[in-house]
Amino acid sequence: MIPLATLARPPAGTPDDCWNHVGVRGDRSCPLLPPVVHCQNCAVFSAAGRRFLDAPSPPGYLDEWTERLAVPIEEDAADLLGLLIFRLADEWFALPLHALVEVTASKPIHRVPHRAGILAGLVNIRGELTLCAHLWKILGLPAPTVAKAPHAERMLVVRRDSERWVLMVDSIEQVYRLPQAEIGTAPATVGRASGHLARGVFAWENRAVGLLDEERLFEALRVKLR
Amino acid sequence: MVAMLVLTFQIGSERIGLDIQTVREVVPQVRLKPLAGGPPWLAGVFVFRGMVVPVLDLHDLTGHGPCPQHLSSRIILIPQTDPNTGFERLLGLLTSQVSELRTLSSGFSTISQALTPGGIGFGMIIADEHGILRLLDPDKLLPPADRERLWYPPPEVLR
Repeated sequence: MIPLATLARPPAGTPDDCWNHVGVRGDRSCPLLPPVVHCQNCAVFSAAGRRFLDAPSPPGYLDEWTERLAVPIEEDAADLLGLLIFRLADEWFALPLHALVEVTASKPIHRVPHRAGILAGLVNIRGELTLCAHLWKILGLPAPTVAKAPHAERMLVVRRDSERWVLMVDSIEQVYRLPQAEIGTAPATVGRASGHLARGVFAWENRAVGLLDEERLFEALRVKLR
Repeated sequence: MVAMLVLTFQIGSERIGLDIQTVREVVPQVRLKPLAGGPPWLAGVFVFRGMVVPVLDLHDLTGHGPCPQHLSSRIILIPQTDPNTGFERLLGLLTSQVSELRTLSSGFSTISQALTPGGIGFGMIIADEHGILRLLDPDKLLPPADRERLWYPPPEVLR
């Protein structure tokens, strides 16, 4: 059985592409036009479309689609994790973007008397005094020597709920979208504090980058400040 | 039965519908690689996003010769459970005039087709405003013994 739509023909005496002559792209004199308002609602128009699709495919069509469909698609955006990669001493770390508020140039740190440990002091972030912590101390890295490139130093403003912290890093690399599947477990030999703060490691430009777990990082910040 | 959205296509003189809930994706016709020594009902395989997908030519399966190379010929990809491993695999159905989505309202009149053993099943026969529509049941497309052969070796080896 042929579907009814393929039987619909243009009004007698008009060319096959009637929509260009008596239809909406022509002089609109077609007797079929008023009830359907626009040619795209007309059975003649859809029949012509169907006839077009029933034509043999042009040369090269099959090969082009064979090639196109063979290519694997990019990973689904749903399982990409947005990260900011930064450097501290000679190690690379990453923090999930949703924990970040802003990245600013290095600002003066106002030291708090009689407080040492992880607290570096207070930093004025847009008029708000925010606690600034030594990230290297939390991660158990060796004390920083004189910075090789002071102009590259940045401050990360991180947030969880209403808590805000400023962390100093030696440089910012880039924002990177990491497929969740590429997160490997941190090596068991990592005995330092950074081991338990890391959610895993991943390879980025031939380097191993430690992905910090923001929940555990905030927990460590809070515990150590007491 | 509740209303159902079906993808319709045409094989020879028969109009076939496939419940879109069983469809993963519809892709244009591609050049299929025939498998030497493969079963006669397998039209071939093609690479879909890095995976090998076997394709059944529904025209060939029903004795209408190979599916014509028309712009409206498409490969309908349906997910199938691999009986050997329990993994989900895609199966391609090559057919022509894949052009319409129709809503079948509830309460349509049906008659069940008596399946001949070993033959392929087109499932229920339905009457709609354009006449007879066959509702394809993907699970009855191949006899169980052939379906098991479709998915061997396991996916890890094929990938």
